[in-house]
Amino acid sequence: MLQIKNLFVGYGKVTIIQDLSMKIDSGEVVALIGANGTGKTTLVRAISKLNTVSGGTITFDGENITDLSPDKIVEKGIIQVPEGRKLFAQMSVRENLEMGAFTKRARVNEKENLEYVYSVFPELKAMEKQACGNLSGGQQQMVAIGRSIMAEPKLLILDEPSIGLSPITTQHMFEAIRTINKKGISILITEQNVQDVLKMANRAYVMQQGKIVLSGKAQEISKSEELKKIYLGM
Amino acid sequence: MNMQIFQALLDGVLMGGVYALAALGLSLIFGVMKITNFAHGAMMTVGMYTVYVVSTGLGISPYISLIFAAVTLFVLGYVIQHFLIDKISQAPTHNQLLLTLGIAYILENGLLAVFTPNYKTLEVDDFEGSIKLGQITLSPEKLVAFAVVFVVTAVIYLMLYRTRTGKAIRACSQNREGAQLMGIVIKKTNAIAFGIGALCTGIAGALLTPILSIYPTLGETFQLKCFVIAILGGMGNLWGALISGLIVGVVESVTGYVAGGSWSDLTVYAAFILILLVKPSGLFGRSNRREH
Ligand SMILES: Nc1ncnc2c1ncn2[C@@H]1O[C@H](COP(=O)(O)OP(=O)(O)OP(=O)(O)O)[C@@H](O)[C@H]1O
Ligand SMILES: [Mg+2]
Repeated sequence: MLQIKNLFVGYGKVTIIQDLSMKIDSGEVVALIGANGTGKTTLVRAISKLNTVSGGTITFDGENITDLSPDKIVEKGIIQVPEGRKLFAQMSVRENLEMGAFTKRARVNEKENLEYVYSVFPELKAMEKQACGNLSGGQQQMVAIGRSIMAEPKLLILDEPSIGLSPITTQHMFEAIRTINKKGISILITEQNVQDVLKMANRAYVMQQGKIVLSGKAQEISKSEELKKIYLGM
Repeated sequence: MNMQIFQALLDGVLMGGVYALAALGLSLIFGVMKITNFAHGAMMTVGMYTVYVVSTGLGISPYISLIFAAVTLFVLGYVIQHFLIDKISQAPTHNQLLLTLGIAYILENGLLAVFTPNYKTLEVDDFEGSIKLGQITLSPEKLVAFAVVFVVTAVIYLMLYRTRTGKAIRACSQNREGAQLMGIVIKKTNAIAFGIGALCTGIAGALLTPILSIYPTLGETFQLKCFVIAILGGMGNLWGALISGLIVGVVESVTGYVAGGSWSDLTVYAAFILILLVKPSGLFGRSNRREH
């Protein structure tokens, strides 16, 4: 479904992502793991076109999307829940969710999708009218995920959804992500919570200094000696 | 209360409404694009001359030519953002400021070239005399101006809070990347927001045309006033701009009555500096902070 070939991404003259290739198949949960500062965020921002690609190609459902603008990427169905959530702090929970359905494609099923979001996160219904800036981190993460569901993703990218959340809230969030995946939505998730995310994922890529150094079935990766080396021996 | 003070107060509120509308536009532009539009005053003057030309040319009421001014300024603002400011949106902020300053000079000098520096006064025959309530005298032009400000502000608020485009504008002002990730086209939203901001100042100018004699650099005083009001209100905070506009109008008018006209501006700017010293983010400082 998503295919990345020989990708280069950087900031100014500094290249962060170097010659990176990966793919995500339809219906999969793919984990992207790696220590702080290896370039996970740089990569997923490039997929959403918030970062410029300096080399290589990204194709989605067979179409070259490397040079599309961010809004066109959203129209194609690649939706990202970004690091730091990037909610509209002074808008209500309901308005944030509505903004998820901004594109023409997402407007069609706006009502059904809103009901679906409320069924996944019943807490949100009760705080519909509250400004997002006043919510707790976990609640904000629910809004961020809810907002992305409103955008009708075919591929949902989650950049460290558990950051700053308590272990219980994290479990709750992973549960929700699993539910969303069962709907047939493919998922690319970056995480620091390596063992937890590997339990949920089908496949995983391990990244180090802008390169993929290890990839394979999530179960195998979680047991591999190399992963331990990468994480402990940095 | 002394009736004349009351009179000054009322006059101040009415004029303050017009300032508030122009400053609302400036604050909106800042809230969305994070740049200060130094062409705001010049755009106001363009609104004034549009009303002058249309009214004298077609022989119609300035309150009808106001619609022409609104449309002209919306288009002007849209075009300036879309074709000029957007092109350097990656440049440092001070370059964007200089660009708007350049636009201001082009507009002013354009007006000078076409209309000469001579004062122009629009003869308005919509109203006869003024309205008297006991000892209070109200100018009908100012009353109508205030009513128009009220309606325009209400429409802008409805637009920002009830329509999809309006919500997209607010979303962009609160988190630009968050908005992009939801498929909002920043370039278009920015242009619309700039258009609305320009429309505000254009309508304010149109409303002042029956009250003042106009000349090409008249906007400069209003530029500074709008700037002060928008900062007092907390840049990007629209309610703050409206309330500060009224406050500045009243301070100006009451000082003018108590101490004479030459003290008005001095008092306004002195108060401005004092308030900033005490509260650096403005009276209503909870402006639109953008989250990263
Ligand atoms: N806007 C930027 N300008 C310049 N360099 C940047 C920028 N953003 C990130 N970097 C650099 O790019 C590298 C990769 O950062 P990135 O945020 O992609 O890592 P990450 O894997 O997402 O880390 P984390 O787990 O901390 O989120 C880091 O060295 C960082 O300093
Ligand atoms: Mg990151």
